[in-house]
Parts: sequence; structure tokens; C-alpha cells
Amino acid sequence: MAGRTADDFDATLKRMLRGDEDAFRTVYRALNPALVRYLGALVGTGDAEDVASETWAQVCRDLPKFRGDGDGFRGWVTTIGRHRAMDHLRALRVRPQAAATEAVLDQRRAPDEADTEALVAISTEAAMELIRALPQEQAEAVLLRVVMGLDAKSAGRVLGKRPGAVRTAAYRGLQTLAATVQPAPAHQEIPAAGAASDTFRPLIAEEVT
Amino acid sequence: MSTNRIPRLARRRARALLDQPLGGGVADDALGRVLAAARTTPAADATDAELFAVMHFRAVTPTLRSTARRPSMIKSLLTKLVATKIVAGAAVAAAATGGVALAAADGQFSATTQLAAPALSTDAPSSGAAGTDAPSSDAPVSSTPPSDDTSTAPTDSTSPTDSTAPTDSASPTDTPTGSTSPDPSTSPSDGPNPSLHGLCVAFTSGVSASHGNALNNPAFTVLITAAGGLDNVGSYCATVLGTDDNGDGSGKGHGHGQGDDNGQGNGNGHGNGNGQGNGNGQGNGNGQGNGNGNGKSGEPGTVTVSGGATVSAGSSGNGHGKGHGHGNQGDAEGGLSLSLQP
Repeated sequence: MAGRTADDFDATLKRMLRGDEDAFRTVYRALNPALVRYLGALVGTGDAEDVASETWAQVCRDLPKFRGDGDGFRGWVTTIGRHRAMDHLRALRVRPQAAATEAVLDQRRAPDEADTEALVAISTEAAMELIRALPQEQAEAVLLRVVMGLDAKSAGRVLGKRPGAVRTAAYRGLQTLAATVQPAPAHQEIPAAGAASDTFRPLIAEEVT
Repeated sequence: MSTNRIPRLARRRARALLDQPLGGGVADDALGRVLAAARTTPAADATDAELFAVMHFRAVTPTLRSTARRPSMIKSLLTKLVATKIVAGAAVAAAATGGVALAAADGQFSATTQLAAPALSTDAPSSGAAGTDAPSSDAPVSSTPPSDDTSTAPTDSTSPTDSTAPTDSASPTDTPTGSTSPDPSTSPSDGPNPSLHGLCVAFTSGVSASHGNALNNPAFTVLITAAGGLDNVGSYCATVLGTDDNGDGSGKGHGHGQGDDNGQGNGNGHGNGNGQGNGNGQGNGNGQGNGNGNGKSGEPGTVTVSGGATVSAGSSGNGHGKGHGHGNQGDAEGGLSLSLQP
């Protein structure tokens, strides 16, 4: 979405809603990377692409019902993605998940340890890892606000919370993040990520239950 | 870690960081860099996942396109309804005026078919812009068959007067009498039957389940009018739908016209129409009218009558027709032509 104004996006969205495939590709390319990243935080990066694909499939199916502008669409897609992520986690819960979890862990352990020293050029993966390490409520608020680019109101809709709650959670999340990454005296360690258990911790595990 | 040595994050700063547009951002400290990295959008190429998504999008494209058209479809339905009214009124006037008999055996009024439904009442509430009671002579339509430059699409109005009405007026150059009226004239080729047919389809397929309310819809006014009353809609539609493709129409038309060398002409016409259909219907119609016009001397011309009906014989001149038509409806069932029952 870099360099693309909200008006551009709205116009493209309108064309898409009239059935323009090029416009759909544009919208997809604008949103999907963030969606995959967000979903990766929810279900693990290994499964994020699959869940994103399921999300887009449902988005397309329900597209005739969508009414709204670019911001509304972003929130709508995010909501669908979150639901698909929860479905995915429920399914994982049902079937043996050891192998899948191992794969996820392998992928997600490497970057944060490698990159935390070099904050000058922090990678997206490392940044995501830092955000993911936040307490769940804060993490998701920051993800929706920063990664998905939703405003507090839209993010609240996605989470089923009031905008004020999202604002507070995002603010606290940033405080925690700042505390983690600001070059405060002493350690550069990433305590939260390191403290994570050996199993993948889905951010929305509580809601899945 | 303890929080007391952490620089306090100002709320304003936090808000600025959170509200940064995607892809942009001032990342001049560690936190800013983390957030900027998290929102970075890499340049995307077409991936399998994208193709997968596009595939799903294609599946829904027809729906999207039809949805996007929906407003104009509603508009065109309204346009058709207006056309129905106007054509109904004009057909009455035409039948009355120039000795014209019309039939709409195939759902189209044409120069050669004749109106089988005779129940043309001047009291018909369907009288629209070309009301039957109004002197309809000021809506001339060339009696020549529609030519290329005669618009037949209801929405493709060539009339300067009303872009929303299905005016479909003949091109002025085709109308030597010179379009003396700004009234929307009507197309003989856009009969009411398609609309009535559609309304009947709507009525019989589910709408009727709640027809108590549905028939209050203005869209059904035409249908109720055509059926001759609310109670008759059901049987009327059964007839229309049942005999849709089987209607026969026949009719006779007589027209007389006179013209002199000065380019003045008078025309009288009588029209009779009979319609029969496999739906056990018969209709009779009578029309009377007078027409007068101007024409080129000596040349057999065409008589223009309001409503776009063709006069079968107008000896000379092009002109206007005026008149009233009265009709009695018999057992009007059968062809599509029955749609003009009062």
C-alpha cells in the first residue's frame, strides 16, 4: 500500500466491486502481505498463507454483499481472516499437531535472536516477533493498528471491542515494545520472546477455546 | 525487566506511530523502526496464492457485474413501465385516429400487425403523456417503418424533451409534419407486453404470496390496470403467461386520406381488430379517427398519426390525427395483445 492514497484505494476498490479483475489484483497485492503477516501472528507463519488463501476465497464469495470504502474493506477482510484463523486453530486442536507446531517453531525462532542487535535494519520477521511477544490483547491491537492499518474503530469491530479498549491496548503494547527495544541501559535481550514456551502460542487461543 | 528505567512513551507519540499510513513512517528510533518494519509491504509478484484468489474472484465476477448494473436495471424497468403507459395510451389514440388497427401478436407493435385487444377505453387510467383523451395529434410519428435513425431502444431517447421517458421519437427528418409537439412520442415497437409479461412473472412467482402488499407497489399499477382490476390479476396473468407464445392476432385497418395539391390532406380511418389466442380469447376493437395532414401534392404519402401506428392507406400527405377510440372488451384473452384492456 506504499505510496497509495486512501482515495486511490477507494477508487480501485470500487472498480473491483464492479468486477474488474485488475482492480482485484491491485487490492489483493495491497492487502495480502499484511494479511499474511497478521495471520502468521495468529496461527504461525507456516500456516498463514493457507489461511490467507481461505480468507480470500471467502472474501470473494461474499464480495457481492460488501458495502463500504477502503477502510471498511480492510476491516472486513481482517475480520474474515481472523475467523478463518480461529477455524484453523480449532482444527489443529482436534488433530495431532506436533509436526505442524514444530515446523512453525523452527521458522519463528531464528529471526528474533539474529536480528535484535541490529535494530537499525530490523527485519519484518523480527518486528513481527517482537509484536507477537506482547500480551495477547496488546499484540493484536498493535497488529491490527500497525500491520493491518486499521483505525481504532475498525480494529474494535474486528475484535468485538470498543475503540477505546483498542486504543488503550495498542498504547500499552507500544509502551511495552518501546521498553523492549529502546536502547535502555543494559540488556538488549528480548525477554518475552525468549520466555515463550516451546509450543506455538496462538494469540487468540483463549477465544478459540 | 523493571519499568522504571524505561523512557515513558507519550500518548501523542504513540498515536502518531499507530496512525502512520501504511508504508510510510518516520522511523527515527528503535520503536519506530520496529513498527515500520512490521508494516512494510514488499513488492508483490503474481503468486500462486494470488492466482488462487483471482480464481475465486472470477467466480463471483458475474454477480458483481450484475449487481453493479442493478440500479440501471431498476431504472430501465421503470422506463419500460412508463413506456407501457405511453404505448397503451398512444395505441388507443392511434387506433382511434387514423383508422388504424394494431395487433401485437408477437409482442411488438408493428406496422403490419394489428391490435387484437380492442378494449381501448379513453378512460383507461394508463393514459400517460400521450393520454387518450388528449388531442394526440401533436405527437406525430412517422408511419414509415422505423429506419436506422429511428431509435427503438426505450432508453435511447432522441427526444430533446425528456431524457428519461422512452420517448423514442422518430427522427424529425423522418417526420415531415415536423414534430410539432414536445410530447414524447412513443415507439410502436416497444409494446407493453414485455413489461406486463414480466410483471405477471413477478406476480405469479412468489410475489403473489404476499400480493396483498406487493400489488400496492406502483410497479403493479400497470398490471392491475391491464387486468381490469386487482381481482383479475391472477386470471389475467394466467392468460398472459399461458398464451404467451400462442397468441394470434388479426385485424383490419382501413384508412382513407385525401390530399390536394396544396399539400393539405384529410384522412379518415376505421380500424377493426380481432385477436384470438390459444388461450380462448377473443377481442374486438373499433377505432375511429380523423386525420389531416400536409403532404406533397399528388404524391401518395403516408399519414402520420399519433401513437406511432401505421395507417394502412393514406392517400397523400403526412399529417396529424386526432380522435378518440372506444373499445369494448369481449372475452379478451389470448394473445399478448390483451394487455391493453382497460
